[in-house]
Amino acid sequence: MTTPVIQTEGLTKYYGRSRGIIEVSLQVEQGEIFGFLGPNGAGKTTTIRLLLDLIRPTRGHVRLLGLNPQRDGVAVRQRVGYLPGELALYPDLTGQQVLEYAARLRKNVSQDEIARLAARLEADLRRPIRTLSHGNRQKIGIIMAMMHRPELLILDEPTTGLDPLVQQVLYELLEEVRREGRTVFFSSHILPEVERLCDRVGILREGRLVAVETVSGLKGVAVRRIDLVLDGPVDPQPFRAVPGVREVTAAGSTLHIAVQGSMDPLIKAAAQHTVLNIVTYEPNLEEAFLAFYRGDGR
Amino acid sequence: MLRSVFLKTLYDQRKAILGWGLGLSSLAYLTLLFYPSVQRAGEFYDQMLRSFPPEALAFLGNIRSFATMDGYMTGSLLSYLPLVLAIYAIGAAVGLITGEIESGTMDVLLAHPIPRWQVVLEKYSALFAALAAICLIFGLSMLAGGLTIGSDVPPGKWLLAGLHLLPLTLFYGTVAFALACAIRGRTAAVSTATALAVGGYILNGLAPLSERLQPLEKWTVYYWYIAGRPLGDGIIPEHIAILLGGSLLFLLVGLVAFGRRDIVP
Repeated sequence: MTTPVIQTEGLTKYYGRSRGIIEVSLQVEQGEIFGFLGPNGAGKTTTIRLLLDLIRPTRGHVRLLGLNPQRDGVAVRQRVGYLPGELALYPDLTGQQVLEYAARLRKNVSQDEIARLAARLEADLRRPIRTLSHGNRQKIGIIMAMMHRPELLILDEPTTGLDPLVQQVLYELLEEVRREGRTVFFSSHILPEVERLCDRVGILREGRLVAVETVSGLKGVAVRRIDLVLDGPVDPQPFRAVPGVREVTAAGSTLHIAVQGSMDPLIKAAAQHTVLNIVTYEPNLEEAFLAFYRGDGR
Repeated sequence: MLRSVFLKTLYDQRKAILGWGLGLSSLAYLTLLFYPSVQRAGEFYDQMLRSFPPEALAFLGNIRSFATMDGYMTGSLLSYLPLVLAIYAIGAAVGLITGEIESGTMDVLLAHPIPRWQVVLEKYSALFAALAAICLIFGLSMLAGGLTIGSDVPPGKWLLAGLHLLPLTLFYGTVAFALACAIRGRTAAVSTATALAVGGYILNGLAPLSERLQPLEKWTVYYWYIAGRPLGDGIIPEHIAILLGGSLLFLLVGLVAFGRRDIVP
């Protein structure tokens, strides 16, 4: 068992009396893309800033790459790349100058890697930052986070403001990072990208980590919708008592049912009737997600 | 110029150094051009001086005569110049830390493998270098003015008079810098350092008026500057040591505080 790339234990942060995050314990393993989900204000950015030692925990511990980011900060940050949620760069410098400065502070950056990333993202490095659109600035930030080929990439809502083509390039870059056995931790609230990229997700709600699931596991706890078409009207009441069934409405001889978890008890209950047709709907990650947000997840 | 935090910071200050350096320099140069005529009418000006109330004299650095170079330059410029330069020192000091935190670039900087204490030290060194450069430009312009009017003050004394501004303005700047390192926002740092600078100057002027204030005079940082006379009786090394030592102490406070704080834009 290798050391987890990210490990937090009971991580808690209060700003004065206002809540940041409470008792967040999570582990991210080497080589995975971990999605960090939650509505605005849930504490995603707070968690990320604690990982980077920009802010200090009220309670609890963080280890990155087996090290303490507060005590061994320089060694940790040498091996970590970070893209902040609200990226700010020196407005008077060009992209090239910003990257040069960043490379000087790191000392282990190859110019070829900068050129490769800039070409992939089609970033314009010659213009001053202040003349760049948000999306074009974001490209500079992505290059800065990735140019030293970090073992761990921490990205706070990386696709915000990127046009769809560049988003695709970023997805490809992150998939390459994973293929090379490196690790990505990113926060997002864009479900398709989470579904496409992530091996596992952590869901944060009101400062607490309410679930850590594989993406397929998350779909498993999703509320799925199913229509049973029977040969005549039936009383929906017995179906409401079936384990896993959340909601039943009858419309003529059709029952619209929302079910969570295994379908088996429902199918067995349905078998007592003459079933003409079963219509199922692909489970929606968004619904699973919203279930956790509302607090009625598993 | 982007090789280190120190060089980057100094590079960012280039316009300010030039602006402040040249601004103060032209003031010094012009002031010196009037010296020969003031000296010729020395008795007239000194009579005027004797008619001033003591607190007014204190604000002019307690000079005894306008007819000496020390008296003239102190009375017309050097007595209040640290207050003017403090505007730059305090503003720049707060900008270097709070400005970079508020704009969000501190996040990016501190995400690099550089310890916080090094960021603080490099930025402080750049502040020191910028202030020293301004003082040096100021000294050089006085030297130029002295040569223009054919003054017999040796060149080294002009430069010393320029650099003599440094310990006090650095002290004001360091107080602001340390508070910016320790406390979120600009208000505490700017107002404390400004109050110290203005308060010391005023207290120094009012002290002669009241016996109760008199003993306080020697305990203002401003006194440790104005008692030294680079163009007259000479500087007072102990006073300079106190000011530089005080700056060092505040710098240490800033270093420790910045290492412990949360960086929140």
